[in-house]
Amino acid sequence: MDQITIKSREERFLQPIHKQPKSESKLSPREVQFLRPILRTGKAFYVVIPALIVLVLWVLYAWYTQLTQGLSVTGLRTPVGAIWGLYITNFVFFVAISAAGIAIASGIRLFKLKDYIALARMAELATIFSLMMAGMSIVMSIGRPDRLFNLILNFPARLPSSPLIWDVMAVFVYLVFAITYLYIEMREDMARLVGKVKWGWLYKLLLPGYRIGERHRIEKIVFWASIFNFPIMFMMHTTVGWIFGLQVGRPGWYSTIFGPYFVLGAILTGMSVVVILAAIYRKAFQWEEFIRPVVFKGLSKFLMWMSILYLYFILSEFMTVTFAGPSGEQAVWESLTGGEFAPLFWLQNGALVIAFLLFFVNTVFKKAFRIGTTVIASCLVVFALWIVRFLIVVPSLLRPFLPFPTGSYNPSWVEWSLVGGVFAIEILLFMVFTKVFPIMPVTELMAEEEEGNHA
Amino acid sequence: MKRREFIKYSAGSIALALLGKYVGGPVLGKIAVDETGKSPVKSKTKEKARAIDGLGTVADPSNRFGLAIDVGACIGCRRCQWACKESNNIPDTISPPWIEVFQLEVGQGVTGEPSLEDLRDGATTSYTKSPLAGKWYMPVACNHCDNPPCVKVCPTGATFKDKDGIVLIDYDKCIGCKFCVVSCPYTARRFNAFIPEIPPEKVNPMVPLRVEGVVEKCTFCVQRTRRGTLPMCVEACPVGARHFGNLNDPDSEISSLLNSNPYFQLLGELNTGPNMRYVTRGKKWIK
Repeated sequence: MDQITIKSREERFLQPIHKQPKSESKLSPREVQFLRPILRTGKAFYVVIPALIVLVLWVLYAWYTQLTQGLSVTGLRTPVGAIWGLYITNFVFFVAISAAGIAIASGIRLFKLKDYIALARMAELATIFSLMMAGMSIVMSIGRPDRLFNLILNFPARLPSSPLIWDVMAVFVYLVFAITYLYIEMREDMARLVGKVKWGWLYKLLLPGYRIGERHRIEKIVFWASIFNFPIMFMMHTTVGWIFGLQVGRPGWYSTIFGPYFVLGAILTGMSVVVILAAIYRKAFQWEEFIRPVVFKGLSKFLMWMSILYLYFILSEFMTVTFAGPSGEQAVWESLTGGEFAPLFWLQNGALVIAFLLFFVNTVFKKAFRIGTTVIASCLVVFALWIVRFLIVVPSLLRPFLPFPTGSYNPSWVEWSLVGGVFAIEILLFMVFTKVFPIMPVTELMAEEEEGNHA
Repeated sequence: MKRREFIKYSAGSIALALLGKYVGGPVLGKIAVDETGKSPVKSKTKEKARAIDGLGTVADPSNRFGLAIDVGACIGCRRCQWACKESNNIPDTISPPWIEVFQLEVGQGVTGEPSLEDLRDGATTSYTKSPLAGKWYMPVACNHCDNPPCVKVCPTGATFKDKDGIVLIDYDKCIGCKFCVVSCPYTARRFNAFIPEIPPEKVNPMVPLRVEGVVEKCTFCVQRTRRGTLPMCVEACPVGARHFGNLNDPDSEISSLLNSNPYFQLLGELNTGPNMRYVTRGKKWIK
């Protein structure tokens, strides 16, 4: 039975590339719906793209300033003040976003969560683009980007001891894995659209060695890749946590909780970003039919558990440090709870609590469920978790063990520009991809629909 | 089958490459032997040393350098700071010097303001401000730890612990990631955010010029100590509060000082094994 349906699907969609007719009218009405972003260009596109390009040019100027004048144009200082600041915060933040993408895509495919299939590709893109932006943040932060190759040259020698090298490795592995995963699962969609949309020529270039009936093998590959994704994801986020958790050099970092803490934070941030993405795409391209409220309900439930667990981790750390922490740790926590970072710290906790309550209401009271509240809560989570990363990196650096003056960290305009620019580039990449490639997994959605019709 | 072969061959070549890296044998190319006929692994140390002091001194493994500071004797004049800055080609525009001097109050621990502003005015100014009655002074710098956290975390191997116990940085290898800066509990490492500019007449030819965008710190004046002279901070100390020497040699001045007096180490509980010793025999012995 299964074999038959697959074969019939093949016959319908997987004709050899050169035999496919070259007119857009050959698209089925369903396909036209899925391909709205490629077929139509709204007014907003012409407003947002130039704005983003202007922003990116500004960033390039700021980066040029930093490259020519050194990191003296930033607020990063030794020995008094913070030497890691917004760039590293951004790095940790973007690495965290990358958690969700492939995790969601793999989860959807492993456990056959049919309702969520529409989210798979945007989630994968969130992973890929965020990892790129994370890498870019690191390049921005280092003093000698011209010597970046030294990282690779000395890779084998440093692998046994440097957490940063583990992290470089994890980011590379994850990025290559994510791009491969996306490419493999997208081949099918590109093949069926060759000759039907204006970007067909590009798809054709990207499909070397494509054969009809590839889909069975690809499904197998995707299945195994989905399984292997989870250990890679844990490795990735744990190593980021270990950059801080294995250091005795600054109070507030050395902690067993940092590995799991970062994994959880990454899942929380990433899932929230996917909720926001789904809501934006749903609204912009009228995809209410494909991204149904049940998706937001499910994610809301999941995020409720994750956010309360995260709050529990924060409480656990708070208790340990305030009850039994040595004086160095106490100094860092005092700066968080009552010192110069108190506004940020309580803002972060408040946002997380409110987000949890919104998720809770959404989940428990079925009538009160709104997609809007889910999205608002997700925005709160993303906002709060950026602050969390900032408060992990900076306060510890401003409370050294030896009695150096406390100092302060005032990010310069260059830093703010580059940090904002990283976000702008990510959005730009998303928009360009949406314009050129199908953001919806067309083949999988069509297959789903057919099965639904048969049942 | 083709795919399997591909995997087999690529795994094999990676293994060979790694083998070549560690064994140093002629796996992937010609045998690299230098003029003396020694294996290339050993000559690496030489290259590193050359990069550090520009003259090619090599660490003597029988030495283990350490620095003892007599806290009671120190008068907080910051001449060590100044001498260090002058002799190590640190310009005024660059990060603060490698030595920092804290002011302590009897019975209250550290209370003094740090001397960053003092340094900007020049060491002579801060000299007039100290010593103050009832104050103690404690200079700190790189501890050249036996178990250095900074060396562990370095992603490029630019910083390394040499055989005579000195922790050094290869300025040509450092990418400026600043991981070592945040991993050091002593805040001993400095990052060159500014482009170093130094007038040619002030350049010390024994020491390489400062490089922008990299991390640096106290080298125990490797260009001097490996030739048997004392570090500049020790030479500059007007009261003889600093004692430098070989901890392996039981007859050295530093060993006899440490054997006959109580001393402490900073943050030794972090398992870093610091090699700066603070001798605490009080102020009474100074007449």
